[in-house]
Amino acid sequence: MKSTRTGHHQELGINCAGETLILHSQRAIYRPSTRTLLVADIHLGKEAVFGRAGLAMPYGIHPSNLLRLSQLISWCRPDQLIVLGDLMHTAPGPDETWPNEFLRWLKTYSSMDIAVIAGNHDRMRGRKIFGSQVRWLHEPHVAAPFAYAHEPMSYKGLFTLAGHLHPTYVLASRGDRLRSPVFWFRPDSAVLPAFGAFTGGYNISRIPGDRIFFIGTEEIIEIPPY
Amino acid sequence: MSAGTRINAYFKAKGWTRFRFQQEAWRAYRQGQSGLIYSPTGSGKTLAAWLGPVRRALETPADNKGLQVVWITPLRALANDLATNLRDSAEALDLPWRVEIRTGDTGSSVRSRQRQKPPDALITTPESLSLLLSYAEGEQWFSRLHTVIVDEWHELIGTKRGVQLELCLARLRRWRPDLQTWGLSATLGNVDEAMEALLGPHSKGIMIQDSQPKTTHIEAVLPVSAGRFPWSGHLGLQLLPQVIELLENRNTTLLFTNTRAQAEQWAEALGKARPDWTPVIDLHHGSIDQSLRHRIEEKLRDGALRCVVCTSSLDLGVDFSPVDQVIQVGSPKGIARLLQRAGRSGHQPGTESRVVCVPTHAFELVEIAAARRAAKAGLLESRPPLRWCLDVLAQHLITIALGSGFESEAMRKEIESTMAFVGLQDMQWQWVLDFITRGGQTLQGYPQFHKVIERHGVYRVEDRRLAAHHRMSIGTITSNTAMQVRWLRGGLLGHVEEDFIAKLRKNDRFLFAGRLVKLMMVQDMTAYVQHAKNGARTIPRWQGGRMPLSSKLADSVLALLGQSRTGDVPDPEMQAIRDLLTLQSRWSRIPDPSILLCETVKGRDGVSVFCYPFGGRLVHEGLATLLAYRLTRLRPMTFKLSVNDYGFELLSKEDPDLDETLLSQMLSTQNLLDDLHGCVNTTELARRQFRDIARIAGLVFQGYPGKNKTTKQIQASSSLIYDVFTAYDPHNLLLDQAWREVLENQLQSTRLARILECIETQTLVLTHPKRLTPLAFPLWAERIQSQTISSETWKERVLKMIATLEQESQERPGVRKARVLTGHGR
Repeated sequence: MKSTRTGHHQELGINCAGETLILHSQRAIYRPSTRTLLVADIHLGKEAVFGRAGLAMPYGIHPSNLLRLSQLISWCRPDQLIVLGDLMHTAPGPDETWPNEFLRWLKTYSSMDIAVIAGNHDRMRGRKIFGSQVRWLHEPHVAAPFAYAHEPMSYKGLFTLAGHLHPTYVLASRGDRLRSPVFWFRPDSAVLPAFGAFTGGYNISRIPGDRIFFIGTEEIIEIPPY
Repeated sequence: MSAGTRINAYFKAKGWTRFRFQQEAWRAYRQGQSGLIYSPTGSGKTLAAWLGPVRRALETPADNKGLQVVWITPLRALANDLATNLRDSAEALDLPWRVEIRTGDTGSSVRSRQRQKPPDALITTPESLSLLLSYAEGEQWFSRLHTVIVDEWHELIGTKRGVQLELCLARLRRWRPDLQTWGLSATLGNVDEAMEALLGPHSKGIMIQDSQPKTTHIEAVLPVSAGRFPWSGHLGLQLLPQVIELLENRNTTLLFTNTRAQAEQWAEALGKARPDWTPVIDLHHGSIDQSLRHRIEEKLRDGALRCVVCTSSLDLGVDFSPVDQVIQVGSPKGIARLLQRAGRSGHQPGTESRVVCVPTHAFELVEIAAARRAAKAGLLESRPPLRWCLDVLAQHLITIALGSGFESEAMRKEIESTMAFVGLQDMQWQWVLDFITRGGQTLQGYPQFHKVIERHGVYRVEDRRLAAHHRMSIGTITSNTAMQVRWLRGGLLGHVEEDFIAKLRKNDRFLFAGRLVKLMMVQDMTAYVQHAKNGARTIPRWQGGRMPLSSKLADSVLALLGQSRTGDVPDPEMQAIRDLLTLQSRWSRIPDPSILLCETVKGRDGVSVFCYPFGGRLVHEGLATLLAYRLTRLRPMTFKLSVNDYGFELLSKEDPDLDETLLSQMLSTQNLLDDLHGCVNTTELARRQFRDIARIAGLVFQGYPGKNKTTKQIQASSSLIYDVFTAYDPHNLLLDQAWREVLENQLQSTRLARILECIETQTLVLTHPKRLTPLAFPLWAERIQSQTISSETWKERVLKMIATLEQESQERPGVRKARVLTGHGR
């Protein structure tokens, strides 16, 4: 395992299914062999849903999600960006501005292959608005030795990389307690943390054989079994 | 027959005496004055305020039409009894007045009839009054109004509902410049300020006091063997036999507890000890369904009950004449509060009231003795009115924009005529206007937050849907997030705070409404429960338990402890815990007003620093956080904090190496606010506070009645709202307000500063007892609920926890040896 720092972020290389994957503290995975950047659960437009329900969310979450994504892209310069489901939170409402902003963002990366595994939140008509700039993939998408999926699953002996759960972990010992998003590696699959800035989390419980990578604002630390 | 003669005859017929303060009030009213009438409960204040306008109506029948008197009551539950009383006296004096009620419970047909044809006198709540101002015909409706009477003003002052009422009164005064305002209040430490808040600063009013305050006897149930009386705890059931004896000797007893949980426990214990009393013992608290509560109140009034176990739900107003004994379980918390509860017995002018206190742990005996001494000396707590609540202001401006509309300058003058907003800054005013017209800086993208529109200098709400939303939100100041508790097979049991249910898991048992139930599922803001058989159960802790000991009472406790150091104190309560005080003095020292006592104790979990400033639990929360924060800036450390009304504990794994000098430095008033901001920022407090502010200011729409799902979705993400605003709209003044409210309400920064100033004059005494002292023990017992303050980086904390966990797992037999941290590939 190799760990490096770039600016205020940390990357951590691990061996997985015979390949190297680089975990990034901005909640993304880079796969060097195919030059693929993987993120899960961006949930674009989630703040607008709250706005519709009468709960004011200030403007700015959306641009910051896109900015973080841009920063990751300039860090690893991938050929391909794959979103492991839930790109959007909901179909856009009539007077909401976020779909256009996302379209504009997509245009600046027109030379890159941007593909999305349709997650449970994406299976709606609204996704058509992004036209051909986004390639929609079916679940699971095979890229041996990995399978990309939204919901964690086992698939034909391949190692599945998935999202959907928004995994978080609670680390507690006498006198202290911390909860953070995690990369959750199982024997045959891994679950990525949610990328979106405004998403909740699901506390996982560890089963022997799991590896848990705890993500701080700037660091990744593996929690050994205890 | 003149009106005056008629009133005399009425009093004679009833066999009542006219008290001097009543006559003073009537005289002042006739002179056109406004004022505040204060006295202990049950002393004829209602008639003192009511007969003024009644006599006026009798004497000038020509003016007698339209809505003339508005009577504000803080609790709608009180409205019915009040209406009966007011109607009776008006009728007896041959005044053909319609006295009507308008509250959240009033049906829509009655409401619209009232809007067509207003009654002569209207009994209403601050929220319903505010709603009336949101209709365009408001000015016309109030055009004959000459008197507003605010009942139980001590309950409203110091709350946002009080601020809302101040704003509404300013509007009424603008329409009716000669309006007479009269407040009725229990005795407070700051009656002058209370009157000023009610009438507006700079206005002249007259203060009328019942010159013969009634005597209150404060007694304690003493434990038989003080040696075995618990050092901590909050139930006090050890004294059950003595309490049963007290109940046997009287007809009707109100047994007050500080929390609903305690009330449940006591009701259950009494029922078990005396099954024959089951039909005549009832339980009354805020979570119990309203119709059930009404039935209990009726039985109480009829004298059909031996005992009602209750919480603050029965603190207010209604006259339960049969009650001839009041028992207070647990700390009285405040002197005024105890006196008010005591006043629930002998609720007739002239009779004396008596309260018996039941301590739940040893040191509460000191509190009881201290309360008695303070009450005798006339030391009472103050309730300072709130200032600059921008959330309430935003709500009020939208209300007025909905009704008559407003012009900026004139409105600002009106707002500044209230004590709550006197000296409002230009920047604040502009911000609020911007907030209601454009949603502030960051909500411009959402048309639903462009509520008010300015045309030709007049601000109005034009969208009818927004108007409907707003009217529904007006009442929300009082509502906290309540969940229904229902039987799984149907039937409502009552309501409980969401926080409490959130802490439970499926199949957890708890006592609710006098029954042992277990939680089956939670769905759509409803907790479904089933009967549970006996067995282990959670003792629920409701919010009520967090009320701090008042500073007046705390000072009094400390003074009494000081006296016990130097000599024998004759109070029976002090005699009862003499042995315990001897122990405290032998192992450490007894605190007194001239010293600040600190103790360090080494234990299995690390080193504890105990500190006893006697500032009340909220101040200690702030003080503990502050001290931890300052210590962690010296070097990276992690502390666990716990607090109670007497002091606080900081626990850390490593020895913080404290001595008197360092501790004194760390507790200085220098940079207090900055440091508090520094540590408040790291706590959950502001986040929770912001949730309420967002709701009042209209940032969060609570949803239509019955549509609970929206609310739930909002609550689920409420912790995110604050974070998101902090990140993307840091200049939002409502965030500022959340901080201020946290500082003032949660951390009580003013009281905190006072305590710190006091500490600077005290000698700091640090002792090193071998084991937990009687004062330290309750803090140690509280530790489970405590919070963490740390200056170590995220990484340091993670690594440290990992190290501890690994070490512990190695110590545990049968657990596989841990792998090294920087693991290897799979």
